Amino acid sequence: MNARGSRPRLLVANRGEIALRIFRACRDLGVETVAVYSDADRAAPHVAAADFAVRLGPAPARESYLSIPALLEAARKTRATLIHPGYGFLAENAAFARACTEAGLVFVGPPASAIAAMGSKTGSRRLMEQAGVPVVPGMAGPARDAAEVAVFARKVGYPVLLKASAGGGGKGMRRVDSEGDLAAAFARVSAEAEASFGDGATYAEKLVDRPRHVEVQVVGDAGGNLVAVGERECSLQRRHQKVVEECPSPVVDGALRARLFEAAVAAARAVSYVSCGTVEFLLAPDGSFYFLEMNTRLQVEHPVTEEVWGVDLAAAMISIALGAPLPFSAGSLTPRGHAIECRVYAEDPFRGFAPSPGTIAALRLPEGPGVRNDVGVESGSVVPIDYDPMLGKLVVHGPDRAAAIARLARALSDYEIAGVETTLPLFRALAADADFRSASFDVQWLDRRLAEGLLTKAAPGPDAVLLAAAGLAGAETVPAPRGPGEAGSLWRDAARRDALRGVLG
Amino acid sequence: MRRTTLVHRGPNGPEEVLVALDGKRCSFTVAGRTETAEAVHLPDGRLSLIFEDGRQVSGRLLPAAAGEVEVSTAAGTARIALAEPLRDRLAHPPGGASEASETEEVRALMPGRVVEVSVSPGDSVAPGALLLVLEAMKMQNEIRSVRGGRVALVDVVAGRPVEGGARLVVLEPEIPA
Repeated sequence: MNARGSRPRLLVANRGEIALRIFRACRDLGVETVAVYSDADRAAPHVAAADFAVRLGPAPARESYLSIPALLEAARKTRATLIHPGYGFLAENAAFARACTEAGLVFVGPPASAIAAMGSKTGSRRLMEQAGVPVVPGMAGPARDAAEVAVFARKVGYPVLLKASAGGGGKGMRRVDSEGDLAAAFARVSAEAEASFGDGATYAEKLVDRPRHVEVQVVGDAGGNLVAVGERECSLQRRHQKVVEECPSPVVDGALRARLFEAAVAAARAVSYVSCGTVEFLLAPDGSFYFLEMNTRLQVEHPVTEEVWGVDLAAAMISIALGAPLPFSAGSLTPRGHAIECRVYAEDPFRGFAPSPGTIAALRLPEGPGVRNDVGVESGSVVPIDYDPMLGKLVVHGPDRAAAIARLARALSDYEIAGVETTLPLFRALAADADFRSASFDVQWLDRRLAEGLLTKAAPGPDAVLLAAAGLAGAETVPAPRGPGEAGSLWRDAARRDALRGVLG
Repeated sequence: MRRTTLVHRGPNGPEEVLVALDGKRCSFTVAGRTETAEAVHLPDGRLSLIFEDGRQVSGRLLPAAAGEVEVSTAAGTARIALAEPLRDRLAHPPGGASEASETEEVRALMPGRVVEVSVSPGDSVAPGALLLVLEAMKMQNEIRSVRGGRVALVDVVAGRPVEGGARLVVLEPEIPA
């Protein structure tokens, strides 16, 4: 063993901003870094940032970032001692966690048993009920008739959701708002279920109307210490994908926070949780909340918690994996201010959020007080089509929510990504939106607002036109076209030449 | 001194920006109003304008799809559709966009020479069909129909000069069969 053999060496089985985020934590802790990459990522920033780097395979994730044998071989080759899965890819794969442990590597995350226990929708629900964590009340089995549903509904209150037991994907579901509507709705759902799934079995759940998504960050160590480190508000979602996250939740008061923390710690304790994890809840307008699921990984939105609670969750995960006790206790932490994160994607918000792969022609990141960028690309980077098109996260922090929103608007006006379409226009629209500013939203709000036209492509302002005119007047400053024009656009090409050369006056 | 005209498709038809560039001094004339700015390229490739009253704007220009230029400023990114000067001025007569139900006179708004006439009276034309080629400012400009219709009149002959404002072609609505 060489002189440096005693330093821990951590392989990040991931790419993009999260690989860079974990490498930074490694540097802070004196841990050496190992990057892995696919053929699409040889020139990616996370590779150039690492002490060691190993090729996994071709671009498709199945042959690279999802290949457990290739990852274990990369760890063996570089004599890595720890593996961090990041988020996505193999982050919540119990078999991967087990394979790492069996190969003699320290898996930076929860025990495989906790990943498996929380990975089962029905199993985790049963576990949570036993642990006293509230779950959405539902009938234990199919209802014989509408009268049996009525008994259940009287107990939990309307509205309820009738569901085909064999259903899925939104089929065979019906909302019932009062007992008067129940008999007819029950008959219809049973008939639909029979027709669609060949099984008329129908049951009911309490329907949480206009819920918010609130989640609690938990951190545990091998000694059984478990701490809740604040909640996050993640109700701004587009088609169930989080878009903007905040810490703290603007609607959670001290009493509710205490109840959420207690439930989250109970949930984590039920699976003997170690490392960073997140317990997600549906929060009803009346303050009742219900367990959704537990994410057994470091989450995309972890920076808002870090900014407000003054902790380094990525570093805590590593030191806990190395056997250290929790670096903080519940009493030692004091939240400070408000943080907001925007997920910046290479997606075109004006074309239904279609992925927009390509080359980043220019990247200018905002700076200044209260601004943090966790970004996985740089100017000149190619955004490959093979992976999730998230480019990075803009995180702002301010003394309160209004100040954080002002800093968000300021940061967005300094933020420039050219060459690919991004979701920055969505965040600019949100920062100016009255409902967002007053935190009047639920999990369906963003989809509703987008359908109503939250985003409208404004005509170019006079400044933009003058800049174009000045730039085109000095034709030598205009770079070559990005790519071939669309078919049949010869006149347009000619027009462009006209405009570039100018019509001599 | 270098003079350039940018014609872009504004919300109400084409808009002209006349630019006179003299070193860093840049004069813009839009709808008869002129303002002057100092134009400088920033080290990162952006362009910065400082107007006479001190107002500063900066942004980056990138070619987008054919015929468009992308301008990103602090307000966000905008696409500016560059209009081919003659075609668009013909396509959008000052009265606004014409309806396919009206008769449309296609006029030359600049003096030039007819290079080629591609249609004859009675021809049916589809939107985008080539009507004629007009040489003006040493550029050959394809004059295309922006709408479908029937050619009612052709007033020009290949090889002959035309005055600015001269009527070139008259289109009338297609008569349903």
